[in-house]
Amino acid sequence: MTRERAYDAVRRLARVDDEQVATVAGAEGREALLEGIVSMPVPTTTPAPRRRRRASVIGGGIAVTLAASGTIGWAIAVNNPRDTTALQCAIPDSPSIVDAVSGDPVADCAAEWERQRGEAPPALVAYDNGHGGVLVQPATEPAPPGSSPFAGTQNLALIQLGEALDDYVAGLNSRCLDEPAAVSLTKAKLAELGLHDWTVTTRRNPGATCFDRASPDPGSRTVLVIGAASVQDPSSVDMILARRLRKVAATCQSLPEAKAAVERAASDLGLSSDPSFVQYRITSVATDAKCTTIRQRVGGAIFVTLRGPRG
Amino acid sequence: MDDDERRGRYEAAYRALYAPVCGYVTRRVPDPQDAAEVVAETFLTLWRRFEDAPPGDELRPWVYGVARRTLANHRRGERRRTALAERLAADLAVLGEAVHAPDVDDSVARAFAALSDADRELLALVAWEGLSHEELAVALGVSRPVVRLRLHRARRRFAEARRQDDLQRSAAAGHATARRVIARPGTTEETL
Repeated sequence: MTRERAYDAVRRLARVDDEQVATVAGAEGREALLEGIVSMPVPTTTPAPRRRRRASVIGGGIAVTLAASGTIGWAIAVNNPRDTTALQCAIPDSPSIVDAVSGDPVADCAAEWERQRGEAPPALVAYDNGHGGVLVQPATEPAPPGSSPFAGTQNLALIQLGEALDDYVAGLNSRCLDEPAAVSLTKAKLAELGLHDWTVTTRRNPGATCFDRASPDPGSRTVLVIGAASVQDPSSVDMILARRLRKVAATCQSLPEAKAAVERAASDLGLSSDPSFVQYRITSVATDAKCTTIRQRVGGAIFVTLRGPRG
Repeated sequence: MDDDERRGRYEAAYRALYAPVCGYVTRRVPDPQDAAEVVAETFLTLWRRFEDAPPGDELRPWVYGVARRTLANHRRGERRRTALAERLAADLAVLGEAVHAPDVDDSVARAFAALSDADRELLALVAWEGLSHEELAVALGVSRPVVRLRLHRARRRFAEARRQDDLQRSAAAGHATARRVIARPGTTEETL
């Protein structure tokens, strides 16, 4: 079978074509969905107006420094890449956006590089991409236009806050939380991470009963907790795995012990970590903590982050 | 990029991708409510991670990649019902009533169904969404050489599945003929 014949055969199997979709997925529905989405808060990786006003005050040092080079507007308008919780990792043929885990963007990119290519990366360098993001690439590559070297670390407390709130084991996705319960949980997570001067606000989407999403804004030190879901299915694989991991998390385990327990739980549910079709992925971070914490997030696959002692 | 500029760029991308993403999802999810949820979640992810999305021609395959992962979650059983998707679900319910099963050779459908999920998705991304090798690399998050290799293998397995299906049908037809020949008057096929 030629390549074209194969594709032509498959093409005829499509149950609907784009023209049919266009006839029903009209402008009214399209605009209704768009309006619902853009009414959601702008994520923390983008400067909200109140944040820019704050930056003009507390970020005065930066503004003055750059003012000498005539770029004060840029300094005020651009977000601080330290507060991003993701990074761009320039892996050849497979540029990737990955969640920040350790706070060290070079280390996080190196781990992703090794995971994807099965080999240690060359020397890597982190850049502030000039748009509020962090880019990591081989040191031999020229610096991207508009970028500047990124020294230091990303905000680890903010990274861990995102993990803790999105968490299916003990976070907002662990069960259907009403507004008071979600606020209480969010305040507890903030306190655990030493973010004592943060406040919590809420918003409920029409028809929603579960407050399952959070949008932390480091500029205003506010977490917006959103009631976005109307149903959570306890029989889903995500929720079943989370219940099993909750039992693991209830015991004090070392990092290797917790990793083995997570692998067993995932395997029992038939989940694969095969690189060709990842259904779950475990990221381990060694810390000085006495016991390992387990966070489970869901987004395309199941991402489990373990932070604990090497054992 | 300030909030107004971000919103303007998002809206432009959203309007350009709305029909292709609806098409991508409805070709894979028959239930209109489920399809609407996947579409809404895909565009919500794009809103939340707009700074991470690549510019220009790479955006469409990148969004297909988001839709593919959202769909994988959905198939694994994650079920959310969001108010966002209600209007779209009503639209897609009308689509469901209008769609007819495509007129295809059964052997093609059987062979396609016999493939792995990964092979089916790879071939569908080319045949249904019209992605090039470069776009597939973006959508799947793998390198171009890996795309070429996977496509080659998927096409080979598809051809083999069709050949096997043809052989089985021929054998079944031959067996039926033989049984009719040896059946004596007064006996039924069930008794042979």
